[in-house]
Amino acid sequence: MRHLREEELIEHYYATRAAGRGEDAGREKEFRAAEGHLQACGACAEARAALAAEMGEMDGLPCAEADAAYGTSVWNRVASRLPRMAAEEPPRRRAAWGMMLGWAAASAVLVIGAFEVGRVWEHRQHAQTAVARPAPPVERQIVVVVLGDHLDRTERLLVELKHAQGEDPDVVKPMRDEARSLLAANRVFREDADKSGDKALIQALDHLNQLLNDVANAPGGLNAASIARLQREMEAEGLLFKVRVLRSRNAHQGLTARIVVKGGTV
Amino acid sequence: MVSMGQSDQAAITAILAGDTEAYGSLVKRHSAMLFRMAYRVTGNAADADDVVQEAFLRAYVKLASFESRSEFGTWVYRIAVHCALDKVSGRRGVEEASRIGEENDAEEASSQVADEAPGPERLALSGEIGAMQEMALRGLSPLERTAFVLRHHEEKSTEEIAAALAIAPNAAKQAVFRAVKKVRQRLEGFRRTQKRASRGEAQRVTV
Ligand SMILES: [Zn+2]
Ligand SMILES: [Zn+2]
Repeated sequence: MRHLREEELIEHYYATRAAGRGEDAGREKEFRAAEGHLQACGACAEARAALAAEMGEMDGLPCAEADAAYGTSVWNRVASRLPRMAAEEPPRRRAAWGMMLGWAAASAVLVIGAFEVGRVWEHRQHAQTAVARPAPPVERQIVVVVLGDHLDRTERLLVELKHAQGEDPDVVKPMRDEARSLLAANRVFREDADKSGDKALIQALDHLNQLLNDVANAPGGLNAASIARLQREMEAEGLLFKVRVLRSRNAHQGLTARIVVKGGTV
Repeated sequence: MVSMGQSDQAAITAILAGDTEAYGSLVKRHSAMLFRMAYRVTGNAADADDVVQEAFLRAYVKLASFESRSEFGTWVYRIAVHCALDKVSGRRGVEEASRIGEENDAEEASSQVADEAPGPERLALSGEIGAMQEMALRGLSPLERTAFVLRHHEEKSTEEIAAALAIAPNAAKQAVFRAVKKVRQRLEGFRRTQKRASRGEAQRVTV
């Protein structure tokens, strides 16, 4: 007669608990076979009792129950963070760009649904002015940015900056472009942070704003001296570390998706 | 009276037609259930609350892909399990990164995201209710902890756990086995510590 292995005892233990709740635990045959052995074998019965006693202690894991108002509180906080769906605005109020924004938001939602969430979508669209008006078409870039990705990209830029030496245009130019591109999103997330009152996030985004601005618009361009200065600032503020902490703290708060319009005012 | 499933479905139809407010009813209805699970997986209310919010944001964004033949509650629960696992995995990431100090920055090395919890010895002695259980779970990997909590406290089947964690049923089962074994070892360790401590007390008293 073969004794029950620990795995089998564990399976049997949880099957017994499920049966106690009136659930169909499945695997009827295995269950009966194990139970038969346990009835006949003192050693296994003892092992089962020890397992049950220890696992029973784990029932005491503390659990906080949400009160009745909790759902409403969650909704209050979630509602402001939801990406907009297009149909929200009454159609007659939509200007050409508004319509476009609406579509961009809707398609972004679909894109987010279709792919794994947590990336950046750059969605370029040409603003179509009304056909009747011969106004020059405005090139406007609509970007859906997710906070987590913004932090990822920022971190990469900081790491590059940290290791940058001299003023090789192949290194400096992409850094400036990236900083410019990150600035707009940074401002949008900074406004969000204001509303949420998240102090650490506000502070980090403020420092980032300053640094990005310096990288993007350093007078006289980026050169060895200005890079060295930025590296010192970055070091002094511990920016890289702050961004990393924020990023992992917000593993999926990173999901906050915002629409950022670059070029032209809204 | 409509069943919960039917009213969920009605809300989803409304949301997809552009009525964002309708999402509120789904959030309010399912928040408590998600919170309870998230609290057990993460071990604290702040993280649990984050998980609940993240799960509803994710669900909203993915709502178009929700298949109406399943229950919204089950679906959003699975999303929340995923978020909770991310949460405990991410936390571990930060703790490790700050210990190792990846790039050897003075700042990185010194800013420890400290684990404030007392060590196992102190906890075993303190006899705090619930603390021992929490300490026993600290020895588990994020996956093991999540699988264990779902099996033991949330009373989910192996198949449901596998679906929520997007792993094979056998992998879910193995994760629970490993978790149970580790939990038992840790409980045994606490008991030994307690015994040693109470012997120490007795000697001091008799001297
Ligand atoms: Zn036996
Ligand atoms: Zn994830």
